[in-house]
Amino acid sequence: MPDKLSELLLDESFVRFVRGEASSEEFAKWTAWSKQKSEYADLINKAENLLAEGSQSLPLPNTEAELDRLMWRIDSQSRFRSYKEVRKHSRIGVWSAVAVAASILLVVGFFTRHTLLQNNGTEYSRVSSVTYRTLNTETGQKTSVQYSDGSKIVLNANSQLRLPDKSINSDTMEVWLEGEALFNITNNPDSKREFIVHTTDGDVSVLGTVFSVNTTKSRSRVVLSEGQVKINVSEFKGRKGMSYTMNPGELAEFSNMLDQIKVSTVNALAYTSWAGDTLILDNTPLHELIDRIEFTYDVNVEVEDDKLLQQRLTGRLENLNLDFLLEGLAQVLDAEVSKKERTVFIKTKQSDSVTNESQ
Amino acid sequence: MSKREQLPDKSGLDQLWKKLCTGDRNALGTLFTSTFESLYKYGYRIIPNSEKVRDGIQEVFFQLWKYRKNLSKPSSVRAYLFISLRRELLNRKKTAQRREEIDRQFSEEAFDPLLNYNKWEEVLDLNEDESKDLKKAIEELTPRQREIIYLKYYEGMSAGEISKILEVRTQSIYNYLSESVKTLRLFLDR
Repeated sequence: MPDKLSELLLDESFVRFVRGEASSEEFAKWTAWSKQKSEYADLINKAENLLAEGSQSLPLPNTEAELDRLMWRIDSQSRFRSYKEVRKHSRIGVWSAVAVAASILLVVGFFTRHTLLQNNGTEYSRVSSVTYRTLNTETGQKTSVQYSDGSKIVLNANSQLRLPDKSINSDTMEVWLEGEALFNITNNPDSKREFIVHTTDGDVSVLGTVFSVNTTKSRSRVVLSEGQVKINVSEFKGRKGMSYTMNPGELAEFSNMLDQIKVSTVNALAYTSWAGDTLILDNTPLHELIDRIEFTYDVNVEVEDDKLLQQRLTGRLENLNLDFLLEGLAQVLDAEVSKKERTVFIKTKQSDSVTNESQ
Repeated sequence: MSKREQLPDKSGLDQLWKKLCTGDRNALGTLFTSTFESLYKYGYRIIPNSEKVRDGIQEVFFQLWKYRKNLSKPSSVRAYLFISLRRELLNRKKTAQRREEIDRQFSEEAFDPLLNYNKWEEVLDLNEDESKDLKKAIEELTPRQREIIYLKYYEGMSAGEISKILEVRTQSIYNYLSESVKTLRLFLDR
């Protein structure tokens, strides 16, 4: 039998043994071999280490959420297909099955919507056969939904969105958001569809546009890239209802607690770029970027020096995962960025002082 | 060793496949959850972009379900999934390149095995210079050789399965593998 690591690694039986996938004969064979010399046991140990940990472990997405996404896509597809089949073959059995399924979903949809609407005090009496679904994203995860009319919604990490499972061409299409999402809503000139994003602070209504909505515990924020949106904050505890129609390039902040909608002009890209793989910064204060990092990756960021916090950053950061992002941030800031468990530390670079690695 | 996820064995996967083909959604779900992690880790080494890899995996399973009635049973279900994901990702890479003219360094078949060099350094007792040389030696392997190393040692695939994924003869897999190990002999047999 070979006695060099390089030769052993070319032996399929040895590799199976080291990976714990050997048959019982193989297992007996290699165990006996390892007992012949201590060097042999040592080689096995080395091989085991290299195979078990010699490759980087990656941050993994949530498998269950991914499965949900798959099942949802399959469901919406199969519903669509079965209708078609029904028309072609007029199979009554299938038809009634579909009808039952639809009415059950309708009831569920109606009840949930009813409770949600009670929460923000809007009144609604119209009932439609729309089925809804709630999407949840985990830390560091993004997900997107594409509708057949070309409208696309990207949901950022740690967010929740309740939305219809297919696009609605007439009337009103409504979604409920907690967290952050980018909406790219196709404007169909033939239909007068209104698209509404409900947040706990108020509603954003749209006629075809690109905009990003971000909600926190205390406020909601909308940044508009293209088109036009209208913000409605309904009457609350003696404060009158408010509304504002936004123009592209504006940022609006509103809350149930504030008595006005705050509007400023911004570079919209700096607020919508999170939906892609690159974060665009345009004179963005570090504290805002930190908010984003904490929100997306569910970490705490600690900054040693208040002066750093006031720094404004311009540039692009790769936002594939937290490590990538922090590496880029260290370069742009020219600071030391380190991570320990769920806390990120940002420190001013120590000029030519010796780090404790030399110990 | 404990970190390796529990993948059903070959007959387990074959069973799931059969059920899936008869329209069993639970089988599709189980196949998805039990292979997702290893597919993701592999895909990320072809395109280091979480969203693209996740979308790629979605597409593979969606197509699988869509065409379930016309599928014949592959000799290795696992290899079949890896092939599908590989094709899907390479196609996406190609269209992205055409659209955006990304760096040429991302050649069509780039493959980064994402090795944990610190571990190699520790296990093989290399000093800093030697560790750098090892890294260089691995970078100088062809993408195909790096992919074979990954599939062989970190996915535990047989030469037969790898040959299907890379669409080359089984004998060539043995040859590629022994060449790569020969290049690394210097570091392995100290």
